[in-house]
Amino acid sequence: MKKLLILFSTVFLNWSCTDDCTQTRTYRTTIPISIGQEQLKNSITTKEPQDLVNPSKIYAYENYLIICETKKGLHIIDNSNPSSPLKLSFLNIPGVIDMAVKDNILYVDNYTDLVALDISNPKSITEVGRLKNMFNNGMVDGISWYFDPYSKIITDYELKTVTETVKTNCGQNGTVWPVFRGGMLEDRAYNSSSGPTGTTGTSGKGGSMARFTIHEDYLYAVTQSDLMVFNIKVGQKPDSVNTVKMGWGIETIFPYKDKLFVGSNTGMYIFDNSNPASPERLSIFQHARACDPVVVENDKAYVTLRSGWCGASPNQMDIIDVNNLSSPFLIKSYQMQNPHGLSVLNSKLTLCEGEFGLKTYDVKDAMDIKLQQHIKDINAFDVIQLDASHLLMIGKDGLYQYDNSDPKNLKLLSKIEVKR
Amino acid sequence: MKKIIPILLILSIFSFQKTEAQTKKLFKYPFVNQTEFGVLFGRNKETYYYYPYYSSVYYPPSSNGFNIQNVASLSLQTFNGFQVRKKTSIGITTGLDAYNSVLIVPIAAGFRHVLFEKNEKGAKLQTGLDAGFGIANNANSNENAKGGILLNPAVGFKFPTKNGSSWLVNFGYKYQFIEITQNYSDDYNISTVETRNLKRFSVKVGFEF
Repeated sequence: MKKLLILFSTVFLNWSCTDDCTQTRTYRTTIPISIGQEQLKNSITTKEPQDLVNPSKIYAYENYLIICETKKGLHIIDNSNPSSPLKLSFLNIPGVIDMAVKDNILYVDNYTDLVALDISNPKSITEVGRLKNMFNNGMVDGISWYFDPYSKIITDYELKTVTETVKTNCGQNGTVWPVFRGGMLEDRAYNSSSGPTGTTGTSGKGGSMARFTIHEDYLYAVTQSDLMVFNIKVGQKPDSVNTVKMGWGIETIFPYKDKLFVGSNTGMYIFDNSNPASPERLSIFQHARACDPVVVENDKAYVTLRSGWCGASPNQMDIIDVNNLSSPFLIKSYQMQNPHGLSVLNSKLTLCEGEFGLKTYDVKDAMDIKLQQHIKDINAFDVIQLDASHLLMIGKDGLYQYDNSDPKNLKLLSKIEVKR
Repeated sequence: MKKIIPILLILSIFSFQKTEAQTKKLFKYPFVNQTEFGVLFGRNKETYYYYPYYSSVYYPPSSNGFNIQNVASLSLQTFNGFQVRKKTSIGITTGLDAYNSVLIVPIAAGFRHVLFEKNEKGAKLQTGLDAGFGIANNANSNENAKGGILLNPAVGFKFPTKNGSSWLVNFGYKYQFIEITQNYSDDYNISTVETRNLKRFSVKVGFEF
């Protein structure tokens, strides 16, 4: 009878026929941060060199390499010897997404402001000019920010890894997913880029996914909806001269000869830039909604489309004839795995395949491009061909420099690792 | 509960010792099979959460009311063992429990004891306890299910028939632990582990021979 008593007491103590289910989940979510516009004024400072954490865009200027640490600042690297690049300093710039350099003046975005910085001494960089209220919103790494001109407050979002425990319905009505708290989340690989050709003078090289580019004395910046033109004849005093409305989803800008190629997620816009102060739209080459870096060489435009959060499209590379700029037409499409940034120089095409590695192609014959080498086991999203034998590639693991004089056998010169 | 497990252990050790020492005596204990089919009734609570949106600090979601609904799942079980005493049987219980999205195969040590009987041919009051482990089978493609401890005490009636078999009606309580891990992850969803403590009232009918 004692046993029975124990049995019943156990049952009654635990008596409840309601299921008890808890879910412990770890996820990344956006947390809003507010920044007063006045805080931006003296926010730019030069610091000691730091480790790469989340590198996005790269920019090459003379012997310097500038690596953008999204919204945090810029790494300035002395690359006179590509086999052993040397970190010089870290430039702390809140809200920086893009950069361009001309004549030792570095132009960056500082949330709403366009800032000109003198980098003749990379160890102590000074602010020489600032144009306020140029940008109202922006998006990078899938996170948007916006400026409220009335309250003069910038609302940005920060990705945070959160672990929380909630009670669930025991799988009764499917899985319960976490909720995101504002800020837009899109494809992280938005910020891939590759190398443009054709910029002359002493300006540097950015990527095909760059939103800033310099042509002659003008700086072009694309926001999500506009093409903004700045006169930078006097480097210290950048002057906004024109704004061209373009519609939503603008991603990249790429100068070629006296033309501007603007990539949006629905097509490629071609602008005539013979009057640099007021570019005029010539044509649009439309394609499926996709993320699409674009590069141009020898009157052929190379556009990669990939599936991602910017749209559902097949993974492919299109080669487009742009000899007649007012009516571009497709030459051929090639199937790819997950193409990101690309770069073309002297018919040597280098293409980043995201987690599938890096590919080099011979594109002398656009109807029949030939795969030269496929480096697997690396993550590649951004590539710049600096000259005939020097390739910069950035991925999640760091910045790689290759000697690509033989496109069938790339030689790794150096690697700047990302510290996690 | 803590006291029952040692008792069960002692009983089983005792029976095994006997079998080792005197193999012939094993068959002195009559074989018992109790096969039952029934329904596990439970209640399910769906809690709604409020996520504070516009805040620069992370706050965990706070509860914002709940919905309760009844759930029922099918259960099949078979107890196979030996009648070690006149009123007591010890054996192994296995079967199938079809919980929501997860199918469990229980493997448990079982114990059956007749508490009360007026006479040998009349109805008897029987109690039983099954304690063990449930092996989970995956159901959803994005989930990995892992079973866990199960405990199933029951009380019921045994109605003997003329040929020595009996009909069974049992009422019990079934506890089952399941752990579900999402095997889907990307840049934003890193890991998700759900622990389910399923507590059900069981009603089973069956047959013993």
